[in-house]
Amino acid sequence: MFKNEKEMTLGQETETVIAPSVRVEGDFVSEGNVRIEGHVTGSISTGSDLSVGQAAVINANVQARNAVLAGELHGNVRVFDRLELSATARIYGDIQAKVLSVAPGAMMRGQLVIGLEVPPVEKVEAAGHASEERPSSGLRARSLREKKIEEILQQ
Amino acid sequence: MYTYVYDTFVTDKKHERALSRVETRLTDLGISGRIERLTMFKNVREIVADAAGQGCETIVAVGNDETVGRLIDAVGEFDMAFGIVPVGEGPHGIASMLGIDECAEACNILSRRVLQTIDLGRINDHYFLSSVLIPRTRAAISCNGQYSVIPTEDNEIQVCNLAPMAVDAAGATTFSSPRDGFLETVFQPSSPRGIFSRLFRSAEPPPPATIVPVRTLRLKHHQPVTVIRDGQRLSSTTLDIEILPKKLRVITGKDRKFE
Repeated sequence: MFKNEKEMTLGQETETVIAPSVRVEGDFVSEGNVRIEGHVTGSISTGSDLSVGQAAVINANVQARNAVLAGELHGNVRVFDRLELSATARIYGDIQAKVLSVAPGAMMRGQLVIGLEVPPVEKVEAAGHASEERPSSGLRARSLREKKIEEILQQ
Repeated sequence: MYTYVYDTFVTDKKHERALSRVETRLTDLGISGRIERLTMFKNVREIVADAAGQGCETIVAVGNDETVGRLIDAVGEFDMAFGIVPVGEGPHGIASMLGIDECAEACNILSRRVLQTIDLGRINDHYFLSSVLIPRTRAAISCNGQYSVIPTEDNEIQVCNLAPMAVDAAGATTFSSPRDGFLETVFQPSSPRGIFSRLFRSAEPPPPATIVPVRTLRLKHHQPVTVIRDGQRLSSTTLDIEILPKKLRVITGKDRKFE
């Protein structure tokens, strides 16, 4: 989408960037790389790579080819290839990924399915819908209990 | 057949020499054509429709970005190639994006007639080639009918089809591509208004921008919002912006800023 004056290359797509100065609500679909540093509510789907910054807060189900998560995410995560959780990541939801890498300090609460092929879904449900389907795990608003667990882990 | 549309300021005495050089060069190259002059009382759409009716295949804006903005609004309706000869004071950003930096060289570029089919933007009933600038706002922008981007502070929004965007950390400028079927939308947090804030913040890098490629945008506001479309002002309470892929054939130079 964007071309650099010095290095213009054919077909190169610029990543979508969600900065801290905006909030995104709804079903966010992209073909290219996505970097999130702000707030997103709804669902996120990209056929490429997803990067979630340390200050980002996401209340959404997420689907991506590869992902690096460093922020807070309330929702289910489907990654077809490699998922990397940084030390600052806090994930409240189920995770499906072919390969998972977790840095010391990362926090997860949900079911893990790792090492299997992850079939893509045509439409990623918004976080609220998924929680109705599967009330026992993931995609819930942050509860007091979760807050308490987080506090204990941080200690 | 070529039609050259001169902006009002082009016929000023100070541009006489440059214009004369252009006309001579066009004659030498065998691509001189009909000349139309924009005036306060001439309707641009009528000029373009008249040219199209007479079999004009190429229409050329002679002037700056504002000339292009006035002309492109009408050219979008017709099937004709579009060229630019930059004359007079700028801005000449659109010509530069097309690889046309100088008026004498512009004649050679017209003569070589390297055509690229590019996307065209539309805002309400108006076409735009370069960008639409929405001044500082916190209004929610609906994108592709699927999601909304809601600024949490004042943001200046630039919807780009063919425009320079931002300067990255390495100092290189990034450009939007007019051939990808997307409008690159940049939400840039506004600088503080106060003079002291501006003075003391001048050394700081600008806050990070949100960049979202979209096909359609909608902004609704309770009061009319004034935006700038290719140098032309437009006011409305509802702004519907969309991309029209592969809508326009433009004549470009080899130094154009897109593939």
